[in-house]
Amino acid sequence: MTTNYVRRRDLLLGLGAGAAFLSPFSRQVHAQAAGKPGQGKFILFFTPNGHARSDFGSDGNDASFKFRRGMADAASMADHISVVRGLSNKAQHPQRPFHDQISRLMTVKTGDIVGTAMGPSLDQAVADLSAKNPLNLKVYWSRYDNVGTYQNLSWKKAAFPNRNENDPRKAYASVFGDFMPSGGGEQSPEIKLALEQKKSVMDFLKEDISMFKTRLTDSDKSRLDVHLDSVREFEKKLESAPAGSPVGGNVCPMDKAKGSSTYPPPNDSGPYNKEAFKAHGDIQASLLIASLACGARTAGSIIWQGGAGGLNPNGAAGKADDHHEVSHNAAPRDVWISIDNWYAGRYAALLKEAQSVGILDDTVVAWATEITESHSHNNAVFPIAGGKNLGFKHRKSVTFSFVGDENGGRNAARASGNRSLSDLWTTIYRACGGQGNFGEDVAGPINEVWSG
Amino acid sequence: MKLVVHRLLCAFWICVAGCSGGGSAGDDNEDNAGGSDGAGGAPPPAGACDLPRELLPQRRVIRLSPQQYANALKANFGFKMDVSRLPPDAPSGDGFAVFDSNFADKQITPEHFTVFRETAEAVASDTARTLQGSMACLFNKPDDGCVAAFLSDVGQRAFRRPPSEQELARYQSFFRSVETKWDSPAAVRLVLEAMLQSPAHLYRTELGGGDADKVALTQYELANELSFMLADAPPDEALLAAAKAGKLKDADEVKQHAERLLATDTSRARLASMFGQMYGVTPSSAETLGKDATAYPGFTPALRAAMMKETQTFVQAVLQDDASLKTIFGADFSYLNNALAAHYGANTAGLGDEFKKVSLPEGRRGLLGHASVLSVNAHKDGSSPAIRGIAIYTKLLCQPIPAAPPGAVDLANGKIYAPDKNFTQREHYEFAKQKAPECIGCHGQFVPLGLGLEQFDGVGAQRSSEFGKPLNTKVQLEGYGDDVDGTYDSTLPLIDKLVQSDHGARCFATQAASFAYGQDVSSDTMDSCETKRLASTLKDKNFSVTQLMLDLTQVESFYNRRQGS
Repeated sequence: MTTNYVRRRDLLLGLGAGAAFLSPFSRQVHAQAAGKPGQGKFILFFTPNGHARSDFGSDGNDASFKFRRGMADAASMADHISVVRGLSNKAQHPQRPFHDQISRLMTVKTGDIVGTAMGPSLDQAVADLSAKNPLNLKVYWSRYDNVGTYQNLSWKKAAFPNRNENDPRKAYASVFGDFMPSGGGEQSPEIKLALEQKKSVMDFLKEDISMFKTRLTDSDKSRLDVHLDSVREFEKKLESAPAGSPVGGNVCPMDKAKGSSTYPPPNDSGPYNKEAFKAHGDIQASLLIASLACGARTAGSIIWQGGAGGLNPNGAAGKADDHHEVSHNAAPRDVWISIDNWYAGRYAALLKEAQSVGILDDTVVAWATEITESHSHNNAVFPIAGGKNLGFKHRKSVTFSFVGDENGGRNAARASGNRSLSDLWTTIYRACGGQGNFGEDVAGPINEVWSG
Repeated sequence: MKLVVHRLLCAFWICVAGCSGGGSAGDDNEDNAGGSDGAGGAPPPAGACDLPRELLPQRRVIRLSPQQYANALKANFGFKMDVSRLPPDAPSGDGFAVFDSNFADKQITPEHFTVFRETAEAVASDTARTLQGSMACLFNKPDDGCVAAFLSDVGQRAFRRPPSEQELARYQSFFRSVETKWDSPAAVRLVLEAMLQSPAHLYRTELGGGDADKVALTQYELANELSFMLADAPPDEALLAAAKAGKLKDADEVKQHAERLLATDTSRARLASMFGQMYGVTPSSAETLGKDATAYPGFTPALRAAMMKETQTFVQAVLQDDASLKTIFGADFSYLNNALAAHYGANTAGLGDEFKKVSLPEGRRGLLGHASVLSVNAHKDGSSPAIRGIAIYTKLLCQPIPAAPPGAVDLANGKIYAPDKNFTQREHYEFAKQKAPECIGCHGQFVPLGLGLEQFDGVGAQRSSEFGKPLNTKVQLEGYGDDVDGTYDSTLPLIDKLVQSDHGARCFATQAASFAYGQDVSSDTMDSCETKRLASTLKDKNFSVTQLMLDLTQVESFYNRRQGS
């Protein structure tokens, strides 16, 4: 008996989908299987350690709209960005507003267990609108790797974090492993055949699981029900796969996505390499955009290091300009601003890529960080971009007056009199097609940046 | 001043820092069951305890762990998969005993299902190609005999037992329907895909036969139990043949197979993983353990990897030698490379990247002196007497930790969270005792055990002071028996004594049973006739871990299950 390895090519050849797998790489094709008409898309762009707040964001509106120093490198996409200042995440743990509260950034629900969010997070909630999973990607260099509570940004439900995939190859396989777009408005015969055959296996499997359950205890039956739910979730994907025509004329950028299928993750034991960090981030960003443009996903996130991540993408590693260290020391403020600005460049690049494939106006892209300054979740600044077709306004600098201790720190009380991050997430949730509010302490959507 | 660890149940108030961490299935022929009459399970092996029903593991199905799944594919289909594609199983249980074999909460989530499905498709494609050479009749309008031979062959490889008549009939029907709709090659491939996504492939069953309070596991269930328990892999041909012949009713026959398996490197690696899992030293922690770069600039991925390798290498080497718990917890040697030896302050002469047997410096000994264990059971930026204490309290003393009561976080943070930043951990503890005495009912049970390891920092490097203040690592144990109660200079000599004590032996036997049978355990389990006999034999046999694993195949818990709800 020979020993073999799982290879992407084998996976697809095994489906009889080899031709469909190979052909799209040579050209860009129109998207298949996008979300429902009117369904908005959402991306969270995460960077760690807060911002040099006073130098971050923007001033002025419309023609006079201008970025501050920490966002200067996003200027090329200013026509697609607004900035909201003065929000607080009131769901932070009252006695522990630290970096590990990344877990509540997109859930905005309170709870007593540090590091555990109640869920679902906003990306999951948006993805749920179209019965899809979010795509959660991360970018880090291993030296600055962080454990779960510093990475758990996306939550399927309470206590179930969604995995952030660091390996572009695995992320690519998870997105495009089944539904390779074939070009034009119709599925190719090979894809149709593969989908029909998968359905037949799923039909058999459902019966198989049901029969298997008959002799089990109640607790085991419950676990088999989860198994059955997983089969049904896949069936939903199968059913949605062949439908639809290109949405809004956007392009499914398979040429770009293809890069992920062969891109190795960073060398786990290698020295810090800022070029590799950037390249890894950009390939992840391209895959995230492709997953939305090709209709495989409707929401996702990209984490450029987890909470308290230490890498300074501008320079060599080391205590002197460690991002986390810098964020806690006022002295090298220019260093901190330059870090913010470096990320502003990547934010703009992601927006530009979304624009190039025609999804920017249907996609809202929020830039968020786990804290503001000094271990606080008070008076935060959030750039919001894209989503023009969803009602978002651009070149707006919205400032909500903030009451209380904006830095707070350990044992800071919640700032109850201020607008909440929940208001911003509710705005995005409704813009993407959701009903009602998202999170706790919601005063309502932020109409200064969204026309509703 | 020394700290006393009394044997008490945790009081109501506890603090969060320490406590919050806190066909038909198995279509094996029923006439092939290991039991005698189906009314009350199989009779216990000669000399074994006849357990009350409630102390037996429950009838159940157990989803294969990621490693078991990969091992099954490799053994039965020659297919090698990347285990990291599957989400690692989160520890289940109550912290008392937490092993990957524990059946609780192992589910097939959509994320699992995606990997299982894609892998099934790849294996099916590969196997179908192989069959084109070895079973050509299948690919051109095969007769029923050809299809039946195919289904029997791949069914046994997928289900790790012969498929039942009912299963064969269902798969034959599926084969014919696919063949009619498409063609024979498609039928071969899709049947394989279905089998490899079937619950019969993805779960191991322990259902037995009959409806009595106690049920005897079937022959093939016993074969699977033994093989996954000792090798983390499916039964080999010899075990399957023994099951087919009904020989696994005989405990001596089981013992012979157990001895055969325990002599392999695979089995030693599996048993080594038991010790790693007890203290959180797992493949996952080897990849994800993070430390604050400012506090521990020397904690590199290479050093982290070396720490993890030390523990695996050391335990496997001991298992191959005297296999004694006394050595595992008390050895004055370990296996280090140059970087880790330097981290320990050990003699680095002659060391390079290779791991070699090295004498440990004074003050470091045994498994709990390993930097891996000390680093995993610590904070990112410092040691943690609470976390380390809990590890010892639950795994070596087998004491349960209740969940933190509501409001414990506020209590802890409000009263004790902001002392002098230059407090040593012991000063911090003394401060907490004064400010929040309600916490000490629980924390007082385990924190002192962790304070007795304060001679090691958050990455396991030795130190004699903290913030310039000398360390006091003395610890006293009370209430665990005359053979271990007493005062110790630190927790390491305490552990040395503990594992040789009656309480320590029963606790370890309980842990090993949990690992072997994949069940939650309780204080009732620890006091059972079966555990007491296992512990007694453990002491008589120089605390041999391999002997204990062998003995675990010679007790009723190996052969019988209780009915569940």
